[in-house]
Amino acid sequence: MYGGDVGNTMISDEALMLDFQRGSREAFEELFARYRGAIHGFFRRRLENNERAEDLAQETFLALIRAVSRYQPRAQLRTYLYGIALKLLAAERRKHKSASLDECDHELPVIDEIPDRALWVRQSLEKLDGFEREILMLREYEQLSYAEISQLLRLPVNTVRSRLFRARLALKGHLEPQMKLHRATTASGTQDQDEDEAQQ
Amino acid sequence: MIKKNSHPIEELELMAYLDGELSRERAAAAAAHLEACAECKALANDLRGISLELATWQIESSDAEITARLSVALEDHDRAQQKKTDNDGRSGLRILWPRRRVWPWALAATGLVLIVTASLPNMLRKAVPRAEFSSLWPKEQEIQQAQSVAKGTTAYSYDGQPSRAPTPGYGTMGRLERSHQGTEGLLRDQVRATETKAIGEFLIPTGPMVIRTAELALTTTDFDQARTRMEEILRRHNGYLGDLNVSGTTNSARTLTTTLRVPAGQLDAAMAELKMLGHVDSESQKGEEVSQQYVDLQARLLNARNSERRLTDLLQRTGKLSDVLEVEQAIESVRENIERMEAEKKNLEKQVAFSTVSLKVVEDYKERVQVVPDSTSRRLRNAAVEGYQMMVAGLINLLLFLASWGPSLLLWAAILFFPARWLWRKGRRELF
Repeated sequence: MYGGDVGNTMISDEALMLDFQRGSREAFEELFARYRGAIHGFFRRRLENNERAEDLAQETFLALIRAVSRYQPRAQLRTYLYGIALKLLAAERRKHKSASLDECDHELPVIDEIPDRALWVRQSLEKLDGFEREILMLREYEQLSYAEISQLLRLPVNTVRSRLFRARLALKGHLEPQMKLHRATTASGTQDQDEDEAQQ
Repeated sequence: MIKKNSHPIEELELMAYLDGELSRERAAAAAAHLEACAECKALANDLRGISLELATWQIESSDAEITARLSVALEDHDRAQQKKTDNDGRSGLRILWPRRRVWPWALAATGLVLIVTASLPNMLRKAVPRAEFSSLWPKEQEIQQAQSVAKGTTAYSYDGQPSRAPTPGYGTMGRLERSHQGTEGLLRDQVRATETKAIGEFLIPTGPMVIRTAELALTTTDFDQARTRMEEILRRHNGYLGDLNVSGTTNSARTLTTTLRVPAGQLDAAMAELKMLGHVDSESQKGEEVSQQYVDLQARLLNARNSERRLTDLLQRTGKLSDVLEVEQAIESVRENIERMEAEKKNLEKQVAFSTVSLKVVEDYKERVQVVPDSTSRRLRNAAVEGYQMMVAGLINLLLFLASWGPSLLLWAAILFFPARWLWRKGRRELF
């Protein structure tokens, strides 16, 4: 029924949520299909354990089901969902921190088998201030607008903008050496290849 | 970094433009500027490059399906929805049988109505004069009895015959009287007849008893002379000063506020003389008749004394120890009442005998021209001394404050510093 487009018009998340509120299971399935990847990605980039990320993504939708009767379309559903996800993430980090008191800061997860460039990105993100990192990640990976980020983090929009800019500049500073190295490696590789071809 | 003054678009706006967060007009301006400005173009490229770099960290796509937990929750939701639909179908009944959320309010309203209904009689009862319930108060029995005696006596004085006999007391005294009723009957009647006659002769004052008070406000040009003359007037009329207060300095209008006690018979003469001290700004006189209050007080006093005498007589008889102790207690209580009433009576008599005059005299002050002003050097010196004194006083006050509050503040700072820092750090790390 909600197979994406209906007569070239995509049904909005909020309309789907209202349909789900009225008892439409298909509406929920459509919402789940739209957001499962995004919510999973949100947790996956912030947690070490993939299974736990899956669990928390499911819990986000579980919370959505439980709260559907109280839902009012005052804000975008996307913001609402990420709000739930942020709360679950905070609870998870609290739990994790109480389990291992030694870990004082929330560092990004160590994910094996990721490409080099992605690893640099992750390492560079780790070096950012936690608050600025979260704003940057919400903007870049979750594609949230400034207004949505300000609503989620309860910050003025101007603060979000200035801290996002600061985070980007700081990240550029961290990434630049790696990028230069990468460019140099690539250039030398290409030169060797050209020389080999010339010799042949 | 881009210099703000040389570019029509700030760097934050440029970033917002790249993020699609600018309004249409500003976005057009930013695009136009970006075409022309190499510096901004470089920054835009940097920002785009960062986004591209960030995009290299991709997460494997999730193929998660709706799990059992979600299915169960969905079924629960379906059931709840179905129930709601059924309830909506019975909306007619809901008018008669409202939702559960209404019941706490209904119960609270019912409780409130019950409380008001229960407390209404008590509220109305408070409005009834206390005298109607005086028989319920054991300590007021003597008062009630004395009042009835006084009324009986008044009738006697007009008719020549006692129209009402004093009512015997109740409570402890009544019980004791009843226990000796047989032996004392005749004696008591005789005593009562004597008492009634004595009350009739004693209670009614010769004339009305009035407490007179007067208030007088004056303005005088010669303040010192007015004060001297006021003291003379007071002496001449055998009065005395209740209290006296003079405020104001020599270079400003002074005010004298005093309470004078003047014999009641000489109040009018004293007031006439006091009014001569200056210009009368305001005058008022008040008289409060306390004859009835005085008669009542005397009747109560006489009755209490009779009670004391009868109880003393009873004490001389032999009886049980418990009875003796009970009588002793009753005597003690009656004596306490007698002392209190005597003090009240004396105070009343004093107030009647001496009238109270509240006098206020304000000086009609005229500023004098200072021919020779203070020299600048003297004023400077005074200012310097005042400044020094203020500095020392401030320093001392600061030291006193630190001495008295410092230890507590340090203690609390030491106690609260680490929890506050922990909470701050926790709040910062809550999300990240």
